[in-house]
Amino acid sequence: MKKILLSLTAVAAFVFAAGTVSAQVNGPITGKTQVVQANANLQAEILVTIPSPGADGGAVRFGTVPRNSTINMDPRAVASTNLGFSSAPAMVSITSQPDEPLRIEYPSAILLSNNTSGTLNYITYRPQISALNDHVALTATNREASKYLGTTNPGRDQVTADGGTGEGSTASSAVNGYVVMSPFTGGAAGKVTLFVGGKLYDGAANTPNISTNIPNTKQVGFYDGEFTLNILYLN
Amino acid sequence: MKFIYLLAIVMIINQSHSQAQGDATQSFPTMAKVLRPIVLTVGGSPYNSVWFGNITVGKIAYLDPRGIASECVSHTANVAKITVTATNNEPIRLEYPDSITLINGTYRILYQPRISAIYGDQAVTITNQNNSIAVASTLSGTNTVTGPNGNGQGPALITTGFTGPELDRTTLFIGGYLYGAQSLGAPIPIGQEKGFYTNTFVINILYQN
Repeated sequence: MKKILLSLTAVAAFVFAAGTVSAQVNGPITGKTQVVQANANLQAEILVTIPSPGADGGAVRFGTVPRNSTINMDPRAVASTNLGFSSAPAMVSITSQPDEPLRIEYPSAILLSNNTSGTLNYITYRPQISALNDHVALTATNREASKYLGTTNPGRDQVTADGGTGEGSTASSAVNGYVVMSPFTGGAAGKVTLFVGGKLYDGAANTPNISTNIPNTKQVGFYDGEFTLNILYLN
Repeated sequence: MKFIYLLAIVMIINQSHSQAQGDATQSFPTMAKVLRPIVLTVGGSPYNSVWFGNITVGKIAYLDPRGIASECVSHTANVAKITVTATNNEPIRLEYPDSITLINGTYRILYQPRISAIYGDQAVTITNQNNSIAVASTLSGTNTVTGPNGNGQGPALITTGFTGPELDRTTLFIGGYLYGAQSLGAPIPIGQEKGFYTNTFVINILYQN
């Protein structure tokens, strides 16, 4: 009977000591807990439609253009110069959450290349984009009614901000952000059309240019390239 | 007779107690490594919460804490930031859930946190995010903020700095995935109710050893 009592006392002492050490050494005293909030605003899927590449509107197509000239495919069709007869801007139809600003991202300058002579030659494409509410056809009237993209939120039922140019200001492949707003109500709610035109300039490997016309010494032939238009919700 | 009997019992109890006190004298090794308290500093607004912004149905949204591979989040999306201040070069354990349900009334989507870490108290910039490392469940050697090949999920191990300025601080960037409520890895259904989904979760940060 005495032995049992002693044994129990020893065990009790051990548990007590171990518990004290554990509380001091491990996390509960020195650790910290932080509550973090996560938020998301779920909206309609952004749907983008582009005509097939061979059709008008399916690609930015300058056609046959002259050297040493100002080459401008105005997406609004009011100031175009020195384009081929078959030229046409690309057209992008967007469907998204009505009355919710969208950010349109694309580079200031893209190099187009040609390998006719066995050596790569380059010219520069500087995109310029305009926008119009609703899904519309690729016509001169609709293009003229569109507005060059601006960089700020235009507010309700304004497709884009006033005063925009729709084109980046530097000879850089850095991405620029522009903002369009789809209509709030009616049949056009959630719908915007973009017209994608732009200008051509001289260029060299890794050196885009947005100020010098294509020189008379430039290799003639077919130049092509591609760029990415990124469309996402602004907010 | 009755009195004598009671007295005998009391004497026996006293004797037993006395013997127990004497035989219980033992010594046990007791060790403790005393470290400075862990201090957490949450980033100022908007970096005090994970903000995906406007996202779309039909997709999986990913807010990359390293700022490299984000997809289907809004332009204004931002990671949350927590700066951990603790004893330098000491393993620290991060515990957080594998997934959290974000709620919009009776509607739900799933959020899976992903965290990256970088030495020092760093601002939320794309450069600092790019230089951070997705947290891992193991550490490797000294002067590495977390182990290699981590995917940002918890539980994870980080360290505070080994040398240099701000050696007692490590910054965490918190992003993650948004999935449909049906399962992790599933896109948010096209027919999912639109609107604002939110919830909170707990990160427990403690010394590993």
